[in-house]
Amino acid sequence: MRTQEAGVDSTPGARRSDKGVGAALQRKEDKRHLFGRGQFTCDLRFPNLHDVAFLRSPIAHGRIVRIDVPEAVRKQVILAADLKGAQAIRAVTDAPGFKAADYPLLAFDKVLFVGQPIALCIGRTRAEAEDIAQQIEVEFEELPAVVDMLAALEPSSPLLHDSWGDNLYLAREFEAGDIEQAREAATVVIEREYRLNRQAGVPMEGRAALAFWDERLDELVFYNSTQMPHQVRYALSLHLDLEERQIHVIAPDVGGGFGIKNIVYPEEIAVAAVARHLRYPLRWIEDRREHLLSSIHCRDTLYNVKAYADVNGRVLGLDVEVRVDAGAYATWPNGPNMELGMAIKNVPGPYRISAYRARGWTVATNKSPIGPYRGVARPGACFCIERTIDEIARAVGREPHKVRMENMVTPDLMPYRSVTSMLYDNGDYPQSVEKAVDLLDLPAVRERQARGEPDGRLIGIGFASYTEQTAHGCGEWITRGVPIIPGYESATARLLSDGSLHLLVGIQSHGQGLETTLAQVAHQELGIDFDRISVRHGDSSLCPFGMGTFASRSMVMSGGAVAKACRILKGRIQAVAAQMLQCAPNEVEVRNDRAFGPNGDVSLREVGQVAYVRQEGLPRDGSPTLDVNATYSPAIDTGVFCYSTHGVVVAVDPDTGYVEILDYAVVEDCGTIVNPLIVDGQIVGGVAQGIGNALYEEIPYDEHGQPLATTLADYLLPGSTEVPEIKIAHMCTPAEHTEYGMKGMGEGGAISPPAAIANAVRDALAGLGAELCETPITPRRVLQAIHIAENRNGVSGGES
Amino acid sequence: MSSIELSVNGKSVRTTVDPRESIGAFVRDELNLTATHLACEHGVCGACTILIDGAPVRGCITFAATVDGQKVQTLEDFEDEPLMNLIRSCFSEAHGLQCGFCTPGMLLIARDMILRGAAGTSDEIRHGLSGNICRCTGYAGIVKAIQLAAERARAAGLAAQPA
Amino acid sequence: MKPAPFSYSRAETLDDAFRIFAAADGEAKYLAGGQTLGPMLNLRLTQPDALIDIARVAELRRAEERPSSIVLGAAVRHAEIEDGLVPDASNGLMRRTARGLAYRAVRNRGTLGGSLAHADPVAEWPNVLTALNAVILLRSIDGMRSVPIREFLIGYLTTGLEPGEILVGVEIPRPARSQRAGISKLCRKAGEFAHSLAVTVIQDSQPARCVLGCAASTPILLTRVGALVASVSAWNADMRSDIRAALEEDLREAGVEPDPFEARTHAATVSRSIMEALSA
Repeated sequence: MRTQEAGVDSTPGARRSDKGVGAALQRKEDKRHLFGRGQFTCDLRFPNLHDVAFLRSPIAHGRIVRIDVPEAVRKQVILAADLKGAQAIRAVTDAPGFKAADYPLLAFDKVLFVGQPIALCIGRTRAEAEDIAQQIEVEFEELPAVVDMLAALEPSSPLLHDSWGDNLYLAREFEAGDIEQAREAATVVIEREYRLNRQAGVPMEGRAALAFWDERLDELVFYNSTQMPHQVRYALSLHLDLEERQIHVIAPDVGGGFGIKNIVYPEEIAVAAVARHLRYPLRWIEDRREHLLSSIHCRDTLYNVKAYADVNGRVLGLDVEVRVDAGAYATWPNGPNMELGMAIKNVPGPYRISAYRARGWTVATNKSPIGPYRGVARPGACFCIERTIDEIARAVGREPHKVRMENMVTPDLMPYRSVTSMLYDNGDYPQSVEKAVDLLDLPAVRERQARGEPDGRLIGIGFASYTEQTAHGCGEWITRGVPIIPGYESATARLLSDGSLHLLVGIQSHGQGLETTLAQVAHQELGIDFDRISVRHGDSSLCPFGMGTFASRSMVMSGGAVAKACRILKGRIQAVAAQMLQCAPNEVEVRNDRAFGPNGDVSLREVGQVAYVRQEGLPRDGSPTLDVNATYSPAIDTGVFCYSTHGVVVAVDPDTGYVEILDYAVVEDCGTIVNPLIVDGQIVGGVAQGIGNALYEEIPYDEHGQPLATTLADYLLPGSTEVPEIKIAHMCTPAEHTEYGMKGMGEGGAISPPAAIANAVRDALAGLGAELCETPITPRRVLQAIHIAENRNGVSGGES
Repeated sequence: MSSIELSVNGKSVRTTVDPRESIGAFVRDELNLTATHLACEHGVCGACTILIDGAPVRGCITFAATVDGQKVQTLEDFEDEPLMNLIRSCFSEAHGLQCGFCTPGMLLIARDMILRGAAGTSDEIRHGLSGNICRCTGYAGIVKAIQLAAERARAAGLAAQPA
Repeated sequence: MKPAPFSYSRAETLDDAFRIFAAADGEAKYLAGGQTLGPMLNLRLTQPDALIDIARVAELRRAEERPSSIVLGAAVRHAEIEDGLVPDASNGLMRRTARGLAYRAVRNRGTLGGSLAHADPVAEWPNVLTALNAVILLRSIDGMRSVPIREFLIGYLTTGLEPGEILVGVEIPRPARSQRAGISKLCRKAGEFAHSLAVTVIQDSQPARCVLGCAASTPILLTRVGALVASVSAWNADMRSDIRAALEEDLREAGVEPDPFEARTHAATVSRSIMEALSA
């Protein structure tokens, strides 16, 4: 393991530069957005553009008996039967016992959730398309809705997918070590049920698709607000009876994704399927209600844990049951099962746990399908283990952070094979806890707590740690049984005739600032002026193949590819410059937009001129082009682990149940940082979403399967008054297996907040004997917990 | 259809509109001013913020027909304004934007707060910003940017002192 | 998310508005700031045939100082109250209320009269103006009438407005210099609708007016709580259990059965509004 606090300079191949790796540069992306000149899909203008509105199911479960479309609008309405050459979405996974839950582009026989698309309506404006949708009448034979995932598994439950015989997508088991022995040896047993309720992702720009047939190129042009344009091209070819050469996917500016746009949706394929036969461009711009109804949802997971510990709080074993309410259908590409697999894998967290048993079930219900939202399963897994660690600490009468540290994997054990076979590469987990304790000044908080608040509120402090697998390769994805196995990312580095540089990459940037950070990497390698580098992404025809931006992978994977391509390009530059400078290529040094030989130097512009338009000056051997494509995957495919401890101080109002965050600290280690501004921005943004998860965001369903949060007046997103200032401290343990020592860090911020905040609330309410085991921690839930504790303790609803 | 005559970014516009068309949709679709984004269309998120007679309003729930005769300004009207350029540079400096979708609304509300002298403390800024949702940044960069911009604008005589 | 089609006309005068209303085909609605109606139209929760814009009717934009009251026109905007651009008849309560009402961009457009005519029991103005004992001024083609606010607000989103009638203003009694007020609102995030809202107005030699919103279909005037408050001169934390008992009585009388959560939060907002008023 490399030493703590190691900087970029200690990493081979890296050198200090004010524009390279490690520089807090302002972003290249900013200007267009600050002038309102971003080009999101909804901002694109084409002549004769038509708008789509979907008629959606108003009921959760039923058979479609009849669809009446008025004759006057029949031509503007597309029903399932009108979709020629288009397939229902099928996500086939390798999971044993896999059951298909094909997701029709438009429902034709049954509807399985409120919001499921039934008809695609075309208007000259969106308003007109909605008018048409409103004129269609659908007669349903309503079936009882399956809403509760526990009831869904009862033999008497109605079925979503008739051929299955039950409502179970998948059951999974995992066991390592001797859980019975742990149970027998335990002096402390903690048993809890934790629930993370259903949420949505809600990027500011919803889903969007704009499609037309380009007659000249004989191809479908598909603008799509997506995180993965190349995978979309593949998906369209699978579902549309088109060859990939005939599909051009462009992700223009994308207004946030967070995993929601890592799915190819029925609405999107339906728009493409219809537009390819039209003579005008067709677009669908999702509205907010559609988003809350029918974009993927997330979390909705129930954990039942039994933890066994010794008298000091050392965890001897964990026995966990996980149930995931995955909604009605399998989404493309990864289907419904990833959440469960990752939950089981991640519950043990950053701890040394030798006995672990997990059983899990992924359940089908009449709700929108779930999918991968920032953190994927780990906010729940973290909640499960971190709440439990705190309960163990309480049971043995110790400060939770001490119990936490003592159970953690220590640096001397790295690399460490976790009980679920993940390979934690390096880092000092306990130190992250210690630093978070310092940042919040735990003794001062304890003192304040003991003193009491003049307004009667109760102070609490809580911590939660995680270690997050990032930038993993094929091996890891194969274990998930998913149909798409990402391994590499690719990049093209192209020096142009004037010495400026194009980087073409297969990932997609939608807020992460990769147009900036990838240019920093190229500057690091080639010394080319940062302002003379353009990054191009999000275009399946322009850019080399890449999987896209998800799983906290793009900076490591695409950054690695850019570094590699630039190094090869540098060799080509050296070869051309050597010819010009009459020296050996290895004598040429490339920096500051110039190539230096022993007896002189030339500008990269001059090198570019030779390579493109004065080719008589090229060396006779070797490739003459300054155009390099390279692929990259880290030296190991088990991922590099970014870890972090979050700490939070809250004030809980026992009269109202309101929780205010008084202080919040993040200590994290993502290895080498490419751009500190962007890393901190990702952390704070993640924490804000985690606060939403912890305190605000929820889509409840009533007993008929009607979602009760379909506007932003009901689905509460954290605003500027709900997110506090966040203190951030960095540790830096460079990864040993990636370029520069980078680790992924895009999702991490969102993992710990629910657990840390719940622990803090628990701490605040400890005196009342109340605890919170469910997110979001609403005022109602807080008061209910207090109410239950009071009844248990025989206290009447007294004054506080 | 309703006939309207209004000033948009200093230009006079005379046309007819469908009464149900919001002013946000009108500037985007009829005038191709796409800085203004529609993100919730029910008055919660603030991405559609535009100025009517100088005051920020929700572009998504204000019908174009109702602002007949009034002065409409979108972010595009502030290309050369010193105050807005100052705010822009602070947003970039403080990393006050990520995906950029909410940014035009944020800039207009920030400018209004600074001009009204309502951008003093960080608490005050957070209160003023609470009607504009950003899903990416967690607001830290935005709050810092506005604080910086307010200080610099006051120093440069471009803004009111705090109330 | 676009509204169903409707026709639009703008009235320059009240007579204009009445005339357009009378001539309209199908369902006609008056439109003021549109900050509540706009979202409902966009969501197609309401689909009127005709909208009649009254936001610019001069008579509705006026504020008038009378010897013993102040009249605020229905089209006065929340932001105008917030900024102190209209006379105050509440010793600052209305300005404070306006500042916490939704968001600035909404306050720049939304109107006092629109909020009252919508009659949402969780909204600020129906509750605050009940506590201030306001009188609602209504005009129709048949003339003017004035109705005490408690008679005007008759149910959830339901008022005493007759078809075609327009809420033209609110008359608020001028407060004594000694009048003090407190407002306490619980909403899960800034600017959102409250789930408990209490307003207390204390005026010497009169029973205090304590009003609770969000608990029933209209604001509830808590008479027992008000009497309790009138009997003390300063806040005392020991009052809370008495307040709670009085509140329970008042709610029972109003036919409201809060669940334990509601009971607790309503008791908190009522106590806090009283504490703020007594400490003012």
